[in-house]
Amino acid sequence: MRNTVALMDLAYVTHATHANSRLVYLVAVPEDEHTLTVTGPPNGEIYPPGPGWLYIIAGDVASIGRKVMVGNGEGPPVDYGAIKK
Amino acid sequence: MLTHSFLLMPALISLSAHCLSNEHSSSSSPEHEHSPAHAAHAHKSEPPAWNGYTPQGTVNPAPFTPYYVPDGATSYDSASPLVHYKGTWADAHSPDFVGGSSRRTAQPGASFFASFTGTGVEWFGSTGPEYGPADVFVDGRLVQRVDTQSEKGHFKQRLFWKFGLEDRKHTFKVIHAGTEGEKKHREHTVIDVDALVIYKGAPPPPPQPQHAHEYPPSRVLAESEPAPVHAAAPPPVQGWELVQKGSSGVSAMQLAIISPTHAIIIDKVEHNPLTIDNHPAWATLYNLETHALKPLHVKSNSFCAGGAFLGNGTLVNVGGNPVYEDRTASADFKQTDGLQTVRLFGPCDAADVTECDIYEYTTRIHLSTPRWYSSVVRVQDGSVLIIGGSKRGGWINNATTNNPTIEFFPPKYIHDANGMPIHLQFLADTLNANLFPISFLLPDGRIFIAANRDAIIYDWKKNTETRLARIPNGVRVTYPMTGTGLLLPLAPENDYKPEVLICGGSTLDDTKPAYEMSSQDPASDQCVRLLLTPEGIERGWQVEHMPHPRLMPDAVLLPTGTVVIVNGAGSGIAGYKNVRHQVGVSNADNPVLTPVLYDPTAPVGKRFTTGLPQSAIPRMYHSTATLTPNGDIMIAGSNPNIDRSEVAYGTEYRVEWLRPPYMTRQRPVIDKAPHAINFGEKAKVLVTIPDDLRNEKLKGEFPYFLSGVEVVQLTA
Repeated sequence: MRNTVALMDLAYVTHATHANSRLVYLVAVPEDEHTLTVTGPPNGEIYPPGPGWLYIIAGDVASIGRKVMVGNGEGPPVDYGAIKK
Repeated sequence: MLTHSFLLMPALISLSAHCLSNEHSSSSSPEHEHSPAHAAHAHKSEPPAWNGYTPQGTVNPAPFTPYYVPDGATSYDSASPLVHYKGTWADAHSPDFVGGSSRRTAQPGASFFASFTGTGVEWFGSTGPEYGPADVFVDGRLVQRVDTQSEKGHFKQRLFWKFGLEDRKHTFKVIHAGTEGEKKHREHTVIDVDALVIYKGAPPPPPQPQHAHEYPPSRVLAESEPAPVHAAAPPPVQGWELVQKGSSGVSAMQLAIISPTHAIIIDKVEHNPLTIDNHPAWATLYNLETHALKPLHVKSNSFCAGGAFLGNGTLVNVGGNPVYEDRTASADFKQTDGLQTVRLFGPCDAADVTECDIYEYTTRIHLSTPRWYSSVVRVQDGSVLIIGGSKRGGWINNATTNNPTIEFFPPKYIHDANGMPIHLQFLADTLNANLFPISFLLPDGRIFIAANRDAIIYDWKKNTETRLARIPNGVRVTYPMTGTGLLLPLAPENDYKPEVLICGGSTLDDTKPAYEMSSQDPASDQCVRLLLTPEGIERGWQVEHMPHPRLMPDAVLLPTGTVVIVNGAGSGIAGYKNVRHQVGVSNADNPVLTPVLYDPTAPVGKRFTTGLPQSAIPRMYHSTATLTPNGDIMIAGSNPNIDRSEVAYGTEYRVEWLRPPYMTRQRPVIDKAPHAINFGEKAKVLVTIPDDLRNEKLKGEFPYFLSGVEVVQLTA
């Protein structure tokens, strides 16, 4: 028996490229019948910070996805050395 | 043009939770004047572009109005004998009108009438302060009251359209709709007819080949490789549904889910039926629940752009096409060249999308070099890496147009590049078929990149590349020998070992001139996988074969870890107007109308499932597919044309929804989940698991879980 939590990037699709398409299974521990403790991906290499979608999978049946922001939600670093002459 | 004036950047990328406010918009009001002065904006010195094809007259772009006659339709001028008038009508003359004239009336009850044989009709005319209401009848029935009044004057406007009629004789009638209640105004309101465009029935799509082996095999089988098995007539798979519902309004060349309720669709500049500010739109939001459209403002030509979300959720859309296509070069957006454009779309998570739009700050924010067909990868700090592309529009890449560099957005001060492009030798070595490289961030922070027949792992922090083995059997996998790639699911059980899957493409020689290529040249049915660990790299590419050869496929991951491969053509090459035996102008033919399911965890030889529902709609060049929040697959687009066409393979606006079997079962439900989750942090997710799923076993063995650790064990 297995139920899983999938964190997905649904990609930006054009010309058969699915940019940043990604599925990362998250560590999830059941607390009770209705509660999972889900651990975010270990780092930005496993799932780069940004928007994602959580799906619960039971057997081969997936839930409707919920949007989630992975990381701290802040903008990427701005390197002034690269944008000022 | 350089990137050294980035003053707005910090403010822009700190936006996180809402759409950019309108006050930032610098989009000018694209009002037309009733004068032909727009033609003075001649782009005389522009090089040829737009997929390498430059029609005659390109040096004199015309105003970009909704009036357009696609291949497969016929335009009838207001003076045509097709149109019969009743009441008092008079001709107005101007070079801005179709055929130089328009016929107008100020008499309530005056009407015009036409009968035609076909599947659609459009009424084009003028709007303005003096214009008023009209009642439109199709086949004798009142279908709509149209108000042609507008604050400013516009010509060649689409006042009414009706598509999708049964292919037979129809009648069309418009009556000046002055009423007693409007008596004060009606003496002053007019309606006019400039032209009617009649759509003939589109020919049915060519028949699907019964068996994949009708295409001669294009590859050389490796000795160790099992021969492909093609099932002659696969039994239908129970539970899958394919539903056609909705219209994308603009052709869905680029597609991304932005919220629980909406997708964004970005097209190139062309005569789409959806309009905005009195000209055709080329981007829209699509409501996944109601199928309603909200056209977006775009100033530059987004043809052939790439896109990605930044770490704060802002969507960046980079690169594109220059502006000098004759019929789609607009006085509205003048010289806004898309090649270096960065378009920004802020997070737009609410169902009400009224305030959401695309913003461009062309002089302040742009790429450091022109890029056409570059790929965009979000990296571990939330910025994006922009890979390769061509310096100008064209078809297949070559050494003259190649842009064998990378850059970041926001720019980075690394590798002595100071925000300017960083050379990547791999992109110079992979000419010619190397555009839209297949690229994914790996769990060690490096980037997998495949282009043409080759692949590397690129370390962007050290600026070093590690070459991987060549893709077997001569298959090229990037534009215009377009295949598709995925990073297979990552799981903690096997320490997130990354494995890439690349399917489709072509073995055509990419140094041959276009006149030696044909739309009938077979595509490849090959899929290859490479486990990106030292052992996996040592083992090399693993070869499999799809049930059908496919060029331009889309591979879509489902949450369950299986892959749907959909869309594409069985022969030819990406693009249009280049090769021999074009269909319409498509470089590709033999649409593959049946999706296949690929289970990466099943034993070799049992991974493909055929028998999924067959579509009636070819999805050729410029088609797309994505998983939705709902868990089904949205399929849209197909447009191997320079501008909207109604002949095969025409410009496709119909949307389809491929529904996996779980859509009709009782599903687990996420009752509550956090809006944000940080790295390594724990969060509570409230769920309801249907009783019958509590003890269900996963089908097949899951290599990702070979360590035997259960991810979640729910107990009843």
